[in-house]
Amino acid sequence: MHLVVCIKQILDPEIPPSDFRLDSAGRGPAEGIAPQVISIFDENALEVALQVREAAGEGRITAISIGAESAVDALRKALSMRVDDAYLIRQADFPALDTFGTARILAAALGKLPPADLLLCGRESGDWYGGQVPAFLAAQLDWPYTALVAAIRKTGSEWNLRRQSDDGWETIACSAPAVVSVTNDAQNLPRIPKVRDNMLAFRKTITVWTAADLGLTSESGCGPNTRLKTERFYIPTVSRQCQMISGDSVVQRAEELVEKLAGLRVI
Amino acid sequence: MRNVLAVLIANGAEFGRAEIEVLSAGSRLAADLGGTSVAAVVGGSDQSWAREAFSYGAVRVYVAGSPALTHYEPRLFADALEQIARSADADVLLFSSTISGLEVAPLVGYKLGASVIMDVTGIDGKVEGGGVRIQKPVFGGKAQSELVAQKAPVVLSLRMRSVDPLQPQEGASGEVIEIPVNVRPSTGTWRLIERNLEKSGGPRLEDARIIVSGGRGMGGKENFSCLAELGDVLGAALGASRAAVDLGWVPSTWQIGQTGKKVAPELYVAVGISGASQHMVGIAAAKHIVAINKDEKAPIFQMAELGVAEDYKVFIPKLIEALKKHKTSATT
Amino acid sequence: MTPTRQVYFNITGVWLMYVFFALTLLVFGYGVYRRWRLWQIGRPVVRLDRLGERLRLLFKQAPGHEKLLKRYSGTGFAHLLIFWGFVFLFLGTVVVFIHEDLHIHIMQGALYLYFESLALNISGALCIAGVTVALIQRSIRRAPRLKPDKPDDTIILVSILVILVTGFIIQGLRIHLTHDPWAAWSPVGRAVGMVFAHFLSEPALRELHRATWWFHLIVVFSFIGWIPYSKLLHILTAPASILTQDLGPRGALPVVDIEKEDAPLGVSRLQDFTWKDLLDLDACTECGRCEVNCPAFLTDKPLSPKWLILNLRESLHAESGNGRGANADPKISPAELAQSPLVGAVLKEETLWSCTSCGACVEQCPVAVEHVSKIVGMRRSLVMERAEFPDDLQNMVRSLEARGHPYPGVSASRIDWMKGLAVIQLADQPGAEFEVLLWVGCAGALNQRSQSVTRAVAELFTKAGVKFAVLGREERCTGDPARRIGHEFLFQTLAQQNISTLDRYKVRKIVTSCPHCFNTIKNEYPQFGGQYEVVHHSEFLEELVRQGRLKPSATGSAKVTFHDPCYLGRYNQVYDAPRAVLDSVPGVERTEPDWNRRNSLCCGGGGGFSFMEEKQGTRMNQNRAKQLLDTGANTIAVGCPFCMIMLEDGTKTVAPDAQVRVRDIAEVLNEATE
Repeated sequence: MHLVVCIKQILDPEIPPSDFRLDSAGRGPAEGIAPQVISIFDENALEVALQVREAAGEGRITAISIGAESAVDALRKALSMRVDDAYLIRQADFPALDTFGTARILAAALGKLPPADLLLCGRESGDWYGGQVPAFLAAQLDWPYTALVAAIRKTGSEWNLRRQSDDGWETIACSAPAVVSVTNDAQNLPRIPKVRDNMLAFRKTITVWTAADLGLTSESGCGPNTRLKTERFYIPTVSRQCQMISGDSVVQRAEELVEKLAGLRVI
Repeated sequence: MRNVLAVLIANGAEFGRAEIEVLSAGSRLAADLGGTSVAAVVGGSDQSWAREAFSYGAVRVYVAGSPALTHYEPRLFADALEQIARSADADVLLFSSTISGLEVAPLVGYKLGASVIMDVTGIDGKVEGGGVRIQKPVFGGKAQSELVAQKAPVVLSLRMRSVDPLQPQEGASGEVIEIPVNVRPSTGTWRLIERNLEKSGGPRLEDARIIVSGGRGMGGKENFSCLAELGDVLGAALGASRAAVDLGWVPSTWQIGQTGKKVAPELYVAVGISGASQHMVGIAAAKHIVAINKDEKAPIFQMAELGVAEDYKVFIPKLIEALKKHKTSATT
Repeated sequence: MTPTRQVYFNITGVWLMYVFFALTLLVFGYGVYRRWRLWQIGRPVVRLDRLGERLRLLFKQAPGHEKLLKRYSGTGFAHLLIFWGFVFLFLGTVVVFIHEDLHIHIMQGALYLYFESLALNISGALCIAGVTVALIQRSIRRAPRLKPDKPDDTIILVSILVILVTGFIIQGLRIHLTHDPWAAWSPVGRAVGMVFAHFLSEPALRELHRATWWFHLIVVFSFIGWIPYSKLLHILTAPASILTQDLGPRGALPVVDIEKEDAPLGVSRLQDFTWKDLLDLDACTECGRCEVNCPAFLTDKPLSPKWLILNLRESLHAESGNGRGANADPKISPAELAQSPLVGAVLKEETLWSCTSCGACVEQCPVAVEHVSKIVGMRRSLVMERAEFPDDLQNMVRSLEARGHPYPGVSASRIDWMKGLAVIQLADQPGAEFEVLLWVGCAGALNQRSQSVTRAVAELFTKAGVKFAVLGREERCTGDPARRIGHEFLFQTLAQQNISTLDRYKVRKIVTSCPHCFNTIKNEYPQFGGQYEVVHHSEFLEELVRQGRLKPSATGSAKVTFHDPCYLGRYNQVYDAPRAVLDSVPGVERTEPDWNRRNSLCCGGGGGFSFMEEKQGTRMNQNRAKQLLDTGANTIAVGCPFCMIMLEDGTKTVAPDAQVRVRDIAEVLNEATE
């Protein structure tokens, strides 16, 4: 069983609002305002992959990331969670990368790995919330696609995928190989690595692939999404006046709130 | 760009708020562009969906004609929609950010070679030189991105509760066109084997008039019983922030926010929720927000209308008492 | 006539005594050897360096019973009587030995009269008084801290009583039978003799004397032989433990060599402890002083420091076949000891996660048992080897790893607190001159309540004209919470980052309002080469007041009580500075809670608890809040951000309508200072 997890390194989404600043071009956040971390849903995807392997008792897990040099940290984190292999694809080789290109590159990388039975991605990146790469990859590979999966089991030759539906829970059976996007759930909170694994991760090699290694050119990174033009990128201001309830005692404050709510005709 | 196609995916559920929003947005955008608002219906639905589409401004409704489409399957539905979009000559495809919308929209976008943006919160067609302007909050709502797409096709999924519904035009009608689609037998298999509806006693979060919601500040799983009691008195549905879900205190079906449910209640009571922007995008449509939080500087107070800076453990029992007192005095 | 006495009056076959004694020594020696072998399975640790200092400590703590007398001084005094009684009687026996067996006749004259007769009579009597108090304490008052209260405990006391009483009987009968002219020097023995003479004839007295003599001898020898097999072992292990106690700063936990490949990280089995840890297990006298001062035990958490030690001891003895354990396999050699992990088998995970690392147990222990380092040692194994620890703490660890602070979900940045204040951030002004570095700490920067404390400190510095700077965004958590929960790896990473930042800016003197940061930078950073002068803001502010750079003036009156933070007080012995700061404010009337200074009770915020929900028992912060409210103070002064959060919450819950404020000493001082 071979599971491949695609991960992306992003600006820490928990950056305090007061630290968030724009870059000089005003097209994205300024560099260095917060640490870089693995995109949160990708961590959930890693955790799900690890759980699948644990339940099956066998299997290899490969992590791939397209990113800058610093993305080795994200891959190291994946290795410390006990992923077997990690590959970094040099993003610098693809200056005008969009989601179509990303899918093409990942598909090419997949072609160089042993055949995968399941490809897992986070449901969307935790920075720009693209939410397309896993679907594009599935379309490119022509594999079944399931979005927003919370937990996975292997039953016979099929994947059993459990996800939240619009009004409850549903379970899907699909053939392998398949692509899934993973969303967060109480069951797939990423594990804390053991310290020994943490240190072993530092000794493992992370293979770096260039465009040439994948048999691609820099143009493979462009698609219709590059046609989108950013007109404005800004930090929204919130200006809502909150009325604080300030009675003398708890009871008075509770009664004051009830009165106010009754005044709004919501109770 | 002229033709705006609102995509309606019938996946076992009834025609509802998600579909109304997508149709309303489509009609408004078509008006901006001076184009035509059309709709596509895929999946096992009856004629009523087309009627509904007309009442929200669609002039034509395309229906996929294939027996293979009675049960939802992402790739088959995407195939069908690609063919409909081509024959309808659609420039803009609008999906709702439901599970199936989030699943199918990018598949269709890929096949059409379209510009794709997911989970957008606003669109308009008032762009100089033509095109569609798209609003999307990013970085947990800490930044707002405004994009313009000038080349067709464009595939968008609309965040739930981000659109004001149009008033339906009773008795409006239009043309229903059945497109014979050829959905190719797939290389793999995909089938739904089980579906459980959430068995919560109260109203559904999305439909609830009042929601009581707890976050990290609740401090523990067991403390949610206090919220349940408040919910009972108020007749409210219960929700939670992502933090509370991630801590394993409540099921993820309770999650409200960027990556959970988007809700639009009359009254939203946030308890022990700091108000991370991630959460706030889920309640942007709430009419009145009450925040109860120990930390008087918590960002939730910037969004709330009424605030109580107090430990909920002290405050809520008193609030429940006061509400009960109010109820009895109101009935007598 | 030279005052002395005949040693073996009325006794024949004295040679038999030597045979018995030889046997006793064999049994004793073997018993000690068996225990000794058990301690040897522990890891090495240097604990016999600085011997002079160690001996001084031993003589300070053991003979004076320093710790025993500080709390529960009644029973402590009883033990003091027994201890000194035994010392004197032992010396008396040595005198007899020298006199009789070495034929150096010293037992005569003044030594005989003043020491061998009078002093021993008095100490014997006081020893009987001590044993009686102990017996009453154990069998009538039945103090809960003395549980499990095994039969052994009573047998020991009764046998001491028997030894002492028979000793007096023998002496009394001898005095009577020999018409001892020096009888007046042995008043107790003489009185006992007179009583017996009143009832019995002379031949009967002779018989009784001989029988009692042999009986006394057998009881004494049995007692000696029993020492290494019973709680009496503490006669040896207690001084050994005190002698080999950790001399380093108490606030510094031992370093783990993370890089070492094969060494286990932390303690999962008995042999992962050091030999001193294992010696501790045998030094414990089950007195329960640790337990009754433990904030976790007092609030019904599944932790008693005493039972932790006793369970470990039980397992050490049982697994080697030495103990009373029912499943003991006598054939297992110490070398093959306990491959099974301790957690789960010997103690529960919840036990380890109930400790706030407040150090009250270590402070109170009369025999220098080191509880906290053992608990952290076992946590280290859970966290680093097994990665199994409470969810709340996992979230804290994630936050520390990604963001360098332990507050997941916090929306403040490290420089938000300084809005409107002119503060030098070294990253912006790397060349700026400064007198001291203000170490803000994560709570001080990110917790809303503590931000105002930080502001108060900064304002006071400005008022006093202190040139200070901060690291601002470059500051990271010191690693204290990581280290206390056992994540040594994360701690070392954070420590090294901070040390390199501090060294880059050539920081020499650091002031901080967080005792946890204070303790870690002061006592633990030197382990990694970070050498700074570190002072708590209470010390620094006290100095500013003393120098007249801050002049607090009256602004009203307040009844203030100060809560000693564990990491300032017990761990670093700073007790007076915060009190002096408060006393410098005119109008402050200060009261002390019953539990204060070294006996202060933890607020419940240490050891990771600030980041963890208390799931079992009652709340530690409420427990402490009650004690502080009982002082009648209207201001509870603190010197620690964790205490601040815990006690604010605690007082509000315990007394929601009381007009009591929890304030940092800096806030109190700042308000009174122009």
